[in-house]
Amino acid sequence: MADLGGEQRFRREQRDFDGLFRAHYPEIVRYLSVRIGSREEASDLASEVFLEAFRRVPGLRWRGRPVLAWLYRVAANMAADSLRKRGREVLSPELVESAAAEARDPAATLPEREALARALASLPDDHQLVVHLRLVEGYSFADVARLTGRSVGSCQMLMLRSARRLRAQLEQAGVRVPA
Amino acid sequence: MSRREEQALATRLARALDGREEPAGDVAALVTVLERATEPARFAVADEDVERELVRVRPRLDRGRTAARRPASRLAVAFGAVAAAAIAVVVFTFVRLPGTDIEAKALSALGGASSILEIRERIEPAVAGAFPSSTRTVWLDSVQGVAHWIQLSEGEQVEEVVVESGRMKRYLPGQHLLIVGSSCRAFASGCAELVDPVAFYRQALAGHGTIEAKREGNVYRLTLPLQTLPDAVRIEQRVTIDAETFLPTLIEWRENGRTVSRIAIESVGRIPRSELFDQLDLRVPLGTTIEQRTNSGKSLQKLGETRLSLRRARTLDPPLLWGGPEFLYRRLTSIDRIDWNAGSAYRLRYGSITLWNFNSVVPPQLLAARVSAPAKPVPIGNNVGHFYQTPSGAVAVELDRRGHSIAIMASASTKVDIVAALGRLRPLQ
Repeated sequence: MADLGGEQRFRREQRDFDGLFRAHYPEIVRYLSVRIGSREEASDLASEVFLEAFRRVPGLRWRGRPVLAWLYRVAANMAADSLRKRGREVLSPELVESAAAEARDPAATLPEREALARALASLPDDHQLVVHLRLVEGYSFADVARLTGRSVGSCQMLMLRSARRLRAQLEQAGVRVPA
Repeated sequence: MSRREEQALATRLARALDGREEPAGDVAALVTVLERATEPARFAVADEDVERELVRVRPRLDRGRTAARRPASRLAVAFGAVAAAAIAVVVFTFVRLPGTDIEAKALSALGGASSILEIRERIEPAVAGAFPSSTRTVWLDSVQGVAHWIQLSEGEQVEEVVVESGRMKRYLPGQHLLIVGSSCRAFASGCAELVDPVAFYRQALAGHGTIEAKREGNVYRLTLPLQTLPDAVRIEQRVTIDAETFLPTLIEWRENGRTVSRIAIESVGRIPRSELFDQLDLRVPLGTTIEQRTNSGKSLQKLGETRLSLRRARTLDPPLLWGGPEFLYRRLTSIDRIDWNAGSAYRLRYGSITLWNFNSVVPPQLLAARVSAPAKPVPIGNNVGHFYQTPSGAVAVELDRRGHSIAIMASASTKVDIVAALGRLRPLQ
């Protein structure tokens, strides 16, 4: 888990595009993969996020939030635009495949993995971001709060609601997730 | 459950996720759900992939830097006509937070980046009589980088341009000529003519803000900082906006304080996305001459054709997409690489079916068929295929994708056959 840093890091990232790209490109790809359902498209879109960053980040003002918060916001907007453009959300076979390859439970069935991926993709944007930052990237709730501009309590509440929505969706899909 | 109980549960879940509390009961089930659901997203992106992507992105950054360093001397020439709309610079995203200042209101009046604008403009020479006035209707979708405009002079259509998927098509009815290029640099007039002033104004507002905003009666006059067009022309914009609607009414492009072009904005409206497809169709009459241009503006020239063995084709990177040794009940008969001065494409023939793999150059055979027929966009998987009927009656489909875009042309197959066949294409490795 990366340290988000303070103003000094913010200033450094404003000047060092390559450093910014290397530090954050992978997590933006992971985030977009879930949002748009394709790892390949996510890689392309993540590059667009960084091209936008190249143009805009040098002009950002320090407001106590890291450049990464801005990157996630742009990525979220681009993902929303991409989905709108596509007209419908599509579950990526490749994401399901990657789940198959990396799933902890080798006995998990394809329909179950599909249901899991579909349930995650169906969460509202703000829920998805909180889940991603905490569960996928491993940021602390304090950092999640900083990145999303919310309070810690609000992030924890979103996490609870996300978990409930996921469970409800899985139950609806006939998938039982044991404790 | 009361709000307090909810908060307590949320805190317990958070503590369990942090490993500070042993999950039990409902919390344990929720932790499991969260962990299982996020498994697919927990993949590593290899360092070499990051470096490769950085290398791929860097030239686009360098282009911007180079352009910014070039002198502004070409301005007067480039703005002689100031027609036409959008290309690369229209592909941008609003990231500016809305504020209460004039520029934020001006931005908001134009809608977010996802809004599709229909703009009516009147283009007038800064010096009376320098060129005839004309009117133009522009449809602009900055999210998809799509634009279409029709320009009329003295009631006659003089130009129609479509910018889509990074390609530009410019139809000149008076010349019976369609010019196709992959960027505005392919056109003799360069990018200055191919940038819509409203799009440029919106970009300037979003990116740099204003350096001056003055109220004068019922209008505001905004002066925007110097900006660089894709072909390195640098301009300053002075924009007059209505003080009530905050929509632009007049855009002047200036060099050294001297107005070189004046565009009156007669109306700016937003249209639903569902209507956009109707506005993007550019059909040219049969018999129109088609000229394909390279990025540098030269005409596309075929340099040669090379027959490839299957073994050789398997070594290509990125791999070609093919349908296997047999495709739609036809055997693979040949694989050829066709070289033009602007790039190459690969042609796989299965009897009467031709499968193209291409990227920088659209094969002229395909282009000729494409521009004479309306294309129908059809969702295929997580992509969109464009179907059209060629003048000879064949069915064609194009699918833009990373690596190679592909196109299938088949004379005796139906759309249903081709959709099914697309699903069977796979990398030739």
